[in-house]
Amino acid sequence: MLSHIAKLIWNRKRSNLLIITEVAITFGVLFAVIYLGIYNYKVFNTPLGFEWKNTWNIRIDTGGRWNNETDKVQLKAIAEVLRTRPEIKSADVIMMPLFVNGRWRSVETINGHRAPYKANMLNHEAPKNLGVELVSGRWFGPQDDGQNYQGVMVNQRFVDEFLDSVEPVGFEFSDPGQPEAKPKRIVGIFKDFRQQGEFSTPGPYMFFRYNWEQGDSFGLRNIMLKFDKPQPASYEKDLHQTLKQIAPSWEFNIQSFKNLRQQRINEIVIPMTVMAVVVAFLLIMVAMGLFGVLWQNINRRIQEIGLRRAIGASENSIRLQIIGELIVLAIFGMAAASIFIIQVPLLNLIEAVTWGNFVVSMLLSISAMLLIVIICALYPSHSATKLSPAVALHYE
Amino acid sequence: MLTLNSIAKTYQTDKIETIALKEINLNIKKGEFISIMGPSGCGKSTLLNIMGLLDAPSDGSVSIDGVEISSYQDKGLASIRNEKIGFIFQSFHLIQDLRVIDNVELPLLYRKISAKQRRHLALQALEKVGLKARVDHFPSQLSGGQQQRVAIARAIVGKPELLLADEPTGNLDSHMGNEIMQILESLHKDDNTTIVMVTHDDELAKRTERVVRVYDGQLIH
Repeated sequence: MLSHIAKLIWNRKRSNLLIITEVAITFGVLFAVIYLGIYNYKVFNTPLGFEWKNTWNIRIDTGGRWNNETDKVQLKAIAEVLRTRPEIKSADVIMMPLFVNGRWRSVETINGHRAPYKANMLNHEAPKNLGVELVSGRWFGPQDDGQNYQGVMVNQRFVDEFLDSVEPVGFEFSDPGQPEAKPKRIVGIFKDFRQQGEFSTPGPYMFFRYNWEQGDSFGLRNIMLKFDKPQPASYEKDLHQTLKQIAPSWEFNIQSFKNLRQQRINEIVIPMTVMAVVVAFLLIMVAMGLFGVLWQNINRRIQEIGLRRAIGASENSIRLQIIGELIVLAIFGMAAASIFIIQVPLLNLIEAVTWGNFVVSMLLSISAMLLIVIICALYPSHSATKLSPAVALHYE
Repeated sequence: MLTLNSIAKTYQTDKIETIALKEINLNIKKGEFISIMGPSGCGKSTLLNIMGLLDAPSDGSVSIDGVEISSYQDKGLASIRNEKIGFIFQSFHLIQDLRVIDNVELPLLYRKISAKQRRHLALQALEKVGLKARVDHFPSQLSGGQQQRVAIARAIVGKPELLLADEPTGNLDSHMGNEIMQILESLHKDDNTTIVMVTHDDELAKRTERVVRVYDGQLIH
């Protein structure tokens, strides 16, 4: 029967083109939404690699000016004053704060291969204070001062992607464009650090150590405060006054990571929800379209249905045939769409698309599409058998 | 072979009741070739539909091979139609999107028969009606007479005991009509197939063994 259905559909390909096209487009959209859903679900449940609770961020606005002699001293003074407060467990500086859109991207050449990664610069106590987990090697620190290398730390993903065949701890690499610069040496490997939050794509990450005694602190205008317990909203005012006393000309934006994290989640979840609602409506429209086309198709074929019943098809066989026909049509439509969809992982068009997620999304999309198709076919297939064969044969 | 006992058929539409058949008693023996004649609207086709289990009588009973089928449900009726009865219609009722061979195979799709066996039986049936050379044609590529021969092949492919033909020559010219009649005669003669044919044509009716006349929904003796 299946080959008969396939033959019938193939011979009626012109009249079935509309349904096939409709299924193909819907399948493409459905796949994209399901893929995004699965991807975001998995990413959301991947550990961040740090602890954000009871931690606040102070973003400092120096008005666009920076005097490395005076302002750095002032920044250090703020950090030291804050550390003296009993409720503050730690005060660390960081270049790219957590749960915000900003990121620092860089690239190295390792063993002749391009190695892109995201990076951050922070004082050497900061990772420990944030609860970052050391996997192997050691934390960077003052012991790296004055050496003929620049001590850096990388996450496990960095090792997995770029240093699979070498011993990562102690591995050195240089920028060929800056031969005079010290080579970077990996002194330790941490588990992960997904700076931009739960919905950020996990990837290679590198910590650069900020040394108060050297270099420029122009970019380091974020201070992270870790508290021993949750602080009330009124604490922000008190903190602000303290900061203003030390640096009256600077502006301070104080926010808890709890709020920043929620804002970041909302940035992703709200558009995703809107998209899901739009897709749900789209699916309803498509289902209604399919239902209509199928209804019309069945009305055109009532004589054929009458003939089939006359020559021995039971009501159930007719119902199954109609549902079977629509399933085969849906398979044609999904196959057409899949030819385009599969190019994404095959040609690596979108880096975040992995085969694992692709296969799961494909299976879920196929199941959902078939479910929609079967639901749409149920009533028309039932009504197709309501007429007696004698009436159906003479139906005009 | 087929017995109709006190068959009545009434159609009810809103407040109008139309009596199509009343008190029809008819016994058709195995191997008989019967024609049913009567003016338009007298109930010939309704009678044929009831004989072929395409429609249920309002009253009375139908027996096939001594078994009363009034208690049969849809699946049982479909099975009898598939295995024991073959239909030939005035307007052929071929599926235009299927090739000749696929049209002929249709009844066998509802039996548990392998694709190879289906093909074999369909070719045999087409050979019987002289259309073996046209297996890959579509119905639209055939003449009316050829299309009716395909319909006959489809009706006999399952080797039914009873062939019901509703004005099989009605859409054909006399030459083609004669060809179709010859095929029916040879099926009756060679295979001992029981044939019931509705016709308006006196000449064709005379070539059958018995003529049953229907007038105003009743048999005339």
